[in-house]
Amino acid sequence: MALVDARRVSSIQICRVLESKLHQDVRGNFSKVFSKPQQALVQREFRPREIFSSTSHRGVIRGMHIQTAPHAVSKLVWVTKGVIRDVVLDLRNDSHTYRCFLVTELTAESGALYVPRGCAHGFEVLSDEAITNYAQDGDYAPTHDTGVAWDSFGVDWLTKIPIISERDSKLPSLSDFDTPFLMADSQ
Amino acid sequence: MTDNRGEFSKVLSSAVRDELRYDFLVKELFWNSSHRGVIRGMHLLLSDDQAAKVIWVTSGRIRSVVLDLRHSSRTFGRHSEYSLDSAAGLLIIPAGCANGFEALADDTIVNYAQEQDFDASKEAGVRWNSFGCNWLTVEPVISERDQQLPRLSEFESPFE
Repeated sequence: MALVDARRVSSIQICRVLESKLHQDVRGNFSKVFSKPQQALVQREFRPREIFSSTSHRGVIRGMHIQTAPHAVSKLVWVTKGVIRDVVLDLRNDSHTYRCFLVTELTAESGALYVPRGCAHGFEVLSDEAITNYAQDGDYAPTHDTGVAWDSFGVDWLTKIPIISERDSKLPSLSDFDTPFLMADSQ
Repeated sequence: MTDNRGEFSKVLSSAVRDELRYDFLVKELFWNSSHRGVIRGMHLLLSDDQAAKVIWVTSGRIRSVVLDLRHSSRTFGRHSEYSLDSAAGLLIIPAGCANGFEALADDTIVNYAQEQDFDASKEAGVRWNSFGCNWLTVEPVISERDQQLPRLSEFESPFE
């Protein structure tokens, strides 16, 4: 069994938060999470094909999810309500941060997190309710939809007994995940 | 879809594209949150390339209003209303139609995907109370900019 590299890293190559301003006035808030300035921060052109939204209770963990080739996707993740602790796990075999993970807190003020191809994504909910939205640049492909078990790669989740789907609880552990991803997939 | 974790809904997907028979090309993503009694609108983009917009609600409830400003349309100058909440799916707003909404609940979140890049010179609109819409909100919280938009009778639509 391979050892899990549990180093916490500050940066996973080309994974980053694309900041956007949260405008506030008497009506409420407004934020543009993706437009030309954010596109300019991403190496490859990002053209959303699918968009989805989820609402989750405190203590929910969703993840770690990834789609394999030829249906690999890049994702944007942004929060419009509540607080999540977002986790990105690098599964690109030749990346110098392979098997390392990035933990970022996301709220409505954060902007969108860009998750490149070859990185698995998940999060835990730290507020009573959190609304998380996603855009991805390829279609959902159930036959290529896989992931890594949330508790198999060393993240110190704040949630100790999470509410998690049966599917997510049965994902392979990182040490059993035979990764097909390379850096070239995300560039 | 609802389970013990919460809700999950797919807004845009290949199935939706097939249903629309339209290959929606997203260039911008944005969202707003509004208190009960807020009206935002009526907004449209003066584009030449038939860029459309989709909206969906993830919290609260709105009455969304679409005003047809296409001269050749049988419904030119008329509007329709849609009650939207997180279970409603998406509303597509074609080019040449203005869109606005009133928030019917506190903490209402409306999300947008748009086929056109931002261009301030292409932003236009029609005043909320100038085209016969029977708003439920009597004294709305509204921006100064929206309050000063031209009336429908003054709006010269470039859309055929």
